[in-house]
Amino acid sequence: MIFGRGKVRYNNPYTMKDVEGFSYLTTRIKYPAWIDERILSEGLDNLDIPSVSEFIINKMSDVFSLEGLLKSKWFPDLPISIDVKDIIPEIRSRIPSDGTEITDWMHDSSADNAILQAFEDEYNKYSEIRTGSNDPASPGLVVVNTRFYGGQPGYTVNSRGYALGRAPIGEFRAPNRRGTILIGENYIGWAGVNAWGGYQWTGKLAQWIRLAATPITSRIRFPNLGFGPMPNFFVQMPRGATERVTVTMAVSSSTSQNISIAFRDPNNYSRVLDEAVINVGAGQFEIVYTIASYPAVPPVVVEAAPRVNTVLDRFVVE
Amino acid sequence: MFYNFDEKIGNVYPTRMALPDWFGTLSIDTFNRIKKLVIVAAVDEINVVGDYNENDLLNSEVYNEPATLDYDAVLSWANQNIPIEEPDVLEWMVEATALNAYMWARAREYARAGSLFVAASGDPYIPGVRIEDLYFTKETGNAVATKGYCVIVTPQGKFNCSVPGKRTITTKNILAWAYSLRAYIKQWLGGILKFKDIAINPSSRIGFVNMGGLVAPLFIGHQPSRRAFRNIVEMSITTDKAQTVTVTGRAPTDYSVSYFSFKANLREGQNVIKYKIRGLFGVPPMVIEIQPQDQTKTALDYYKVYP
Repeated sequence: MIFGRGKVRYNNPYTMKDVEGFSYLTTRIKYPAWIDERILSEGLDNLDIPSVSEFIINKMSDVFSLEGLLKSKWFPDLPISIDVKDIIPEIRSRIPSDGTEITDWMHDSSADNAILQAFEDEYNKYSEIRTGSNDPASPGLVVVNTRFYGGQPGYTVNSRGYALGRAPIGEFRAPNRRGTILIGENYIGWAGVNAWGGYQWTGKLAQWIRLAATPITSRIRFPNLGFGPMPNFFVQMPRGATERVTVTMAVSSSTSQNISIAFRDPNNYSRVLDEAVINVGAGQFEIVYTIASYPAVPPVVVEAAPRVNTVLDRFVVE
Repeated sequence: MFYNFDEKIGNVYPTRMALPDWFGTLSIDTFNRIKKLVIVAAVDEINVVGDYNENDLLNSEVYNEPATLDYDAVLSWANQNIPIEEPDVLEWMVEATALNAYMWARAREYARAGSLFVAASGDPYIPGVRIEDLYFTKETGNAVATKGYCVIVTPQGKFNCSVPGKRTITTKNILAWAYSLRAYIKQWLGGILKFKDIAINPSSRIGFVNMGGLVAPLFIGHQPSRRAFRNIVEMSITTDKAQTVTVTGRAPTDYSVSYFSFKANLREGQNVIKYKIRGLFGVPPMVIEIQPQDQTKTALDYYKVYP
C-alpha cells in the first residue's frame, strides 16, 4: 500500500490504532515518486537475492576506527564510544554512588543514554528512531509506544529470566541480559534487559519511526548496551526503476565476526524475504551484492545484526 | 488526510496536526487571507451540567496505580508500592514513579483520542531526562536550586524553567511543556512532555497533566468539517473546583501565532462551554490550547465543532 499524496508518500499511515483502540506511530518508509503498487507487489514476488556465496567481501582497511561518529550532547566531554563498558567507569568516577541520592544503576543507564543519544543523532540524519534507558521498575521506562511494565523488580526479572512489556504488536517477553527485536506488520522496536539481584535494573527500548534509506554516506554506530550490539534497520532503496542494482554496504568491525542480514518486506516487516550470514574480520570491509527483479527492484528493509562492536560506514545502491 | 508539517524540518521533529482535505484544496492566496482575521466574539454560555467525577479515566497500564486526576492519590500509591526499604531504591525515585504514572495515564487518554504525546519524568542530572530532541542540561539539584531555574535544550534554542515551576514551549512547530518540582542536593525532579500528533476534536475524556499541582496545558485540534465563516464550538471541561481556564487559538502553520485568547470562568463540576469563532475569509483548522489553573484536577470531556 502507498499512503500520502504528491511527493510525500509512505508505506504506512503516520498513526494507526492498536487492537485496544489506542493510537500509535507506525514505522514508515518514505517512497520516491517512481515507486508504484506494481513494483511493491510483482517486484517483491520476482525479487532475486543472491546466495551468500555470491556476496563479494572486500577488505578496505585493518583499522577499526570511531572517527566521524558523533559525541553525546549530554556528555560532550566524554570520549566517543559505541560500547557502554568504555564509559561507565568514567561516569562512575565523576558522579560516585553515595547511597542516598546516587546508586549504581544510574551510571549504567546514564551511559546507555549517552551512547543512544549520539546514535539517534547519527541515524536521524536520515530518518527517525527514538530510544531510552532507565529503570523500568521505578521510575519507569516508556519510549513512544513501547514500554516495560513497572512493578517488575530486578530480582524477579533475573530469576524468571525475562521482563514483560507492551508494544503496538501486543505484550512481549524480553529475555534477561540480551536484546530482543519486536516486529510487526508496520512496527519495529527493540527491548534490552539487564537485571541482576537487586530491585533496580536497567531496561533499554527503541522504536523506529521512519527507516533510514540509502544512500547512507555518514557513519552510524550499532550501540552496544552491555550485551552485544543493538541491530539496526535500513531501507535498500534503488535510485529509480531498474531491473538490477548493485548494493554496497561498508562496515567496520572491532574483531572477526558473523553479521546476520535479513531482507524484509516493506509491506509487512514481519515477513522475511531472505537471510544471509556474512563473515568479516577486524577492520573495514565492503560487502557487495547484486539484486534483480521485474518490473523493477523494489525497496527492501535490511536488518543488520552484528555480534561485536560495529559501525556502518556507508550503504549505497547503484 | 495530510499534515501541517513534514515529519522532519531541518533538525526539528515538529508537533504535527492532521488537516482536513477541504483545507488542502485552498489556494495559497486564500489560505493567507484565511489565516488572518479569526476572532472569537465572546463565550456564549457556560452551563454546569454535572458534578465532578472521574469516570472514563485511564491508568498508565505501566503500573497498576488508580485511574484518577488526584496526584496525591497516585503519590500515595507509589509510597505504598515502591519499596523504599530496598537498598538501591531512593526517595526521589518513588515520587518520579508517581509523576511518570500520572503523565503516562494522560498520554494513554490522549492516544485513545487518536493522537500522541510523549513524556518522561525523572532526575535530569543522572540518569537524565530527555524526550526525543528535548532534554534538560545536566546540572545538580543544588545548582538549579541556587540559580532558581533549569534549562531545557531544544533544536530551536534553550528555554529556562523556574525551579520549582513550569514552562510551556511554543515555537513555530513544537508544542511542549516542562516542569521542575523539587531539588535535593544532587538529584532533582523534572519532566518534559512533547506533543507529537495533535488530537482532533477529541470525543473521549483526556485529563490534564498535574505534576504535584503544576498543571500542563492541553493542545487539541479544532477541525471544521468544511469551510465556513462561522464555527460553533461546544466543549466540556470538568473541574474539581471553581477556576479560570485560558483558551488560545493557535495557527496550524505557526504555533507561536495566536488567533485569539479568552478566559472562561468555570464552576465546580462539568461545564459545557459554547462559543463562536468567526473568520472573515473562513475559519481555518487550528490548535486550541487550554490552560487550567494550577492546583486543580481538570479533564476535557469532549470538543465539538459545527460545522
